Amino acid sequence: MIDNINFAFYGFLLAISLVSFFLWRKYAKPLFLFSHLLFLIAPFILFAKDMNCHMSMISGLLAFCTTILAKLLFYVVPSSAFIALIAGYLILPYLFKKSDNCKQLIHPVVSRFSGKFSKFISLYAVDKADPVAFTIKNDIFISIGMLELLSKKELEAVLLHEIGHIYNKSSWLKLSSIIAKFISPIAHFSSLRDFVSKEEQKADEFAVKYQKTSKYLVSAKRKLS
Amino acid sequence: MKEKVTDFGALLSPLEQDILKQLWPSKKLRVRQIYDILKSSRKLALSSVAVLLDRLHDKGIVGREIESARGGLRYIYFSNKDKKGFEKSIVETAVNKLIDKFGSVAVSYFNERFSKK
Repeated sequence: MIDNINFAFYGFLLAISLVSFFLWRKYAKPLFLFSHLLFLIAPFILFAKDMNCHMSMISGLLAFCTTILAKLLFYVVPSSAFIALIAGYLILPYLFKKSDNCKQLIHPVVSRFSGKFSKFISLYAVDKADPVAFTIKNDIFISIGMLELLSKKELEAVLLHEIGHIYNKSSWLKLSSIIAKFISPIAHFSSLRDFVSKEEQKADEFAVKYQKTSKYLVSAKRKLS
Repeated sequence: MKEKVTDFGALLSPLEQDILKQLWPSKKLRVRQIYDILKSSRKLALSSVAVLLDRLHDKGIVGREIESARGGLRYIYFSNKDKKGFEKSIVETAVNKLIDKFGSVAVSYFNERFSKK
């Protein structure tokens, strides 16, 4: 009976992973990244459940401790991952955009290409002298240091690279990989670095495709290295 | 009387000193303007000037404002103190450190030193 329940439980987890994969193909990588967490905590839950079947004095205490541990893993790990995702993807970028050191810019490159990809892309300048640029959801953040350092064409290449990230939904994958790595040691052994470097490569290809030359992207990278 | 040339070698790098020299006549300059002035006398990159100005800003030696320009924003840097004020603040910091560390010994030494002239 217990074996059947265990089998059904693992089957259920596998089914969730497979259904997620086929239904949300574009989110498949981050979903697989997180689904391993369910497999990680599953043995603890099943162990706790098994222990509760033999309620003698010692095993009862052990079962109680295991139940607490299992509950902790079952509730705390996924809920902290979920909260980190929501905070990192929705709340923190929103607060960051509203802060004093962030100003919205209207840049010709963004206006030109945002219409083309039928997406609402916003550009924000960050009060920071270090040359940095990053993307969260459909928002591009670029430091004033970067705006000062690059020529017009180089800046266009960097912005196109960031638009490439929006187009490929890279920020979702990057944030997921950071959170998964933070929560689970197993995620460190996955090929996340390959995913991330492939996303960078895709964004570079996107910029080169629309600029029709790699000259400016290369010179911008040289300046920033 | 000819003004003594102060060397801030122990406190600032040569490039930082050159940057400050451009800002001391109470000027407000952009990174690229400072770079254009300095590149004639030495080989340097625009990014080096930007990094050093940021460091000087973090130390509180220079201030900066954000200016809107075509296609974006940019920083305008200015010196927080003139040359004399900067020198005074260095002396003040050094003397305060000595007094904090050695207390009455440092104070009596200063008395002795200034009574000798």
